[in-house]
Amino acid sequence: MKPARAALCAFVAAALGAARLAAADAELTRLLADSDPFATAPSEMRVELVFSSPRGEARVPVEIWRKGEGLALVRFLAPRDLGKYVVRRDGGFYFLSPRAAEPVRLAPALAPAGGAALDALLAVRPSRDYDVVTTSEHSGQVTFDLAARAGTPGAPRLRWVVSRATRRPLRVEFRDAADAVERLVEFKAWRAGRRLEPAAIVAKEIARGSPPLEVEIVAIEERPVPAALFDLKDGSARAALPPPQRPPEAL
Amino acid sequence: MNVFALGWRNLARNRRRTALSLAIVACGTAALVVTAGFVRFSFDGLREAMIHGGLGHLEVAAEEEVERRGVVALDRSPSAALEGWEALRGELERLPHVDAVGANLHLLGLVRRADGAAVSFVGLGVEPDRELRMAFPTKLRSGRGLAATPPAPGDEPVLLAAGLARSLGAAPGDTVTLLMARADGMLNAMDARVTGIYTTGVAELDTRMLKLPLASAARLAETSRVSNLVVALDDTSRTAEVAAAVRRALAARGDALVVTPWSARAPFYEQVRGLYTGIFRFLGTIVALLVVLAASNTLVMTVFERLRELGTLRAIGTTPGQIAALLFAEAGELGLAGGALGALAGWAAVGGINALGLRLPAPPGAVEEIDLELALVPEAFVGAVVLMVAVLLVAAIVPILRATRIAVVDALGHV
Repeated sequence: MKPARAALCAFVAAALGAARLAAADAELTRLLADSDPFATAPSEMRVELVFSSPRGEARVPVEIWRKGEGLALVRFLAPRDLGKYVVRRDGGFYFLSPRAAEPVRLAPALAPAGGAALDALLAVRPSRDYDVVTTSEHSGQVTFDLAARAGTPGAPRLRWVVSRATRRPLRVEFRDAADAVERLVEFKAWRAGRRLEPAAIVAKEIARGSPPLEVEIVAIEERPVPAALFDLKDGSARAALPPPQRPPEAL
Repeated sequence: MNVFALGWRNLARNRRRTALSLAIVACGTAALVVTAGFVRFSFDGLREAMIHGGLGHLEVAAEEEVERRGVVALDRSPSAALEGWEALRGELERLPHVDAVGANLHLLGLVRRADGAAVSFVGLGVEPDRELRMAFPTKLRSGRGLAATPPAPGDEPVLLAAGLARSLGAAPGDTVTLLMARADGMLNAMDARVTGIYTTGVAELDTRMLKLPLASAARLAETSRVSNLVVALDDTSRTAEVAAAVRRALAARGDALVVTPWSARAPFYEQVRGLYTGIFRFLGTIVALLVVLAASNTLVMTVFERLRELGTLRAIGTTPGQIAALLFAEAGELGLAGGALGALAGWAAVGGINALGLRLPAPPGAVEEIDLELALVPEAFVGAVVLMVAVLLVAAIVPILRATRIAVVDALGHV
């Protein structure tokens, strides 16, 4: 073969290889976007859920009210816990109790484990806020190691594991800057419907060392959320929230 | 021949030498009596401080909780086994020698003043009226103690230990917020009014402890259960007897509860006791050795000065055995008289030291000086006298052997 023809063949082969790689990259990017359950989630919503330990000895029904990514209110629904709230605002968690006049700022370690995990999960947008560092595939599971883009709040690194067959996430590891796992969320069940919505997750606070917590997501409802719900001084908007819609035994 | 009467006469014959010997023996005896008084004071003081510092004579707690945390744990979770604790308490308070039974609720959490930093606390929910009956004093530094009547919801009083109050910058009249997690992990927060600052007596505990009425503690922990029941008796020596009665009462009720005496919950007491006993035995041995050496020396001198006299006794037919009996009698009588004098001197010394009202520096880790009040220990008086008699008899062996083995001619010629 003449040198010119050989060079042309090599160029074509390289171009075909690059095109294949680019196609593969695009497919992975699509897979990541498809597996992002909250990519199209409303910015204002009410989520109703029940925390329970794996042995099921305690069930804690709560509501989470979210407004954008900066404000969240956890409202405890059990009769003995009515009037208790955790507010996330200004990057901090505040506990409100009917027996305490002032909100108590909580250390991150004291934030309700399941609520914090779900809150972190609702805030995470892997396809929008993170860059893919590496990918790997094993037994039909694609693992994305992601690094947060500048200005992204939340975990600096994520490990996002997706089933290629269902195109749904299987689990997500929230990692710190040193790549140590702080929190692990496993997706256990999905709600039927067009939108990708988890119905049950298991949260494990690895850094805190607390036992795993099952979170059953009873309802995700898009609705306007008044900013007054997150007011730390004035609790009138919270007091005006509708009473729990389901009896505690049904939750 | 009455060797005892002769012994007394011989002792009386040489008053100066006898007085010196008596002084040595009496000093040794008095030292032992005073030391024993100090030992008893230390042990009894430590024991009662632990019992009336909150341990009580007996603890009634859930079997499961004791198995999980061990008998020495000072904080226990509220237990379902103590759900009907009021009825059980009534039954236990009717037992003989029981002064009172108090329910405790142990709390762990965070306390903060408005806009202040949070500090972790170890809390104790108590019944102030029962604490009074059980002679569990609250050592107030400022403010006032907890009222005997349970507070109304929303008006929760709290006593802060001195170190904790310092960390918070809190004083009587301030409001603090207590935050804790229930057994199921749910948080609760409650405002409480600081009514007083107190000390537990232990510097380390003072940095973490707080005390509040049981009703307030129950509202914070959101439980009607308690952590344990503490039983106080009218006499510590009745502990085993009452523990058996409480066990019988629990067995009849079929409750999954266990009774633990204070001694099992306070291994520190046995450790201190072991250490002190070792130290005091060592000192006692040194005192006894000094008395043996001094008395032996005196007795040797006595025998050597009297060799001609003893030779004369041998020459007129007194046997070596009779000589030995006479010298043993003298030594024993010296020990008895010296011991008796020493016991009297020790009794006077104990009384005198106590009358001075001396205070000892705070032990390691404690925050308060201790009033020195030496105990009179009857068995120490008897023991010290018996020990001195025995010591003198032992000290007499060598000179007696010397005196009985020397030839009569040599003894008569001894100058």
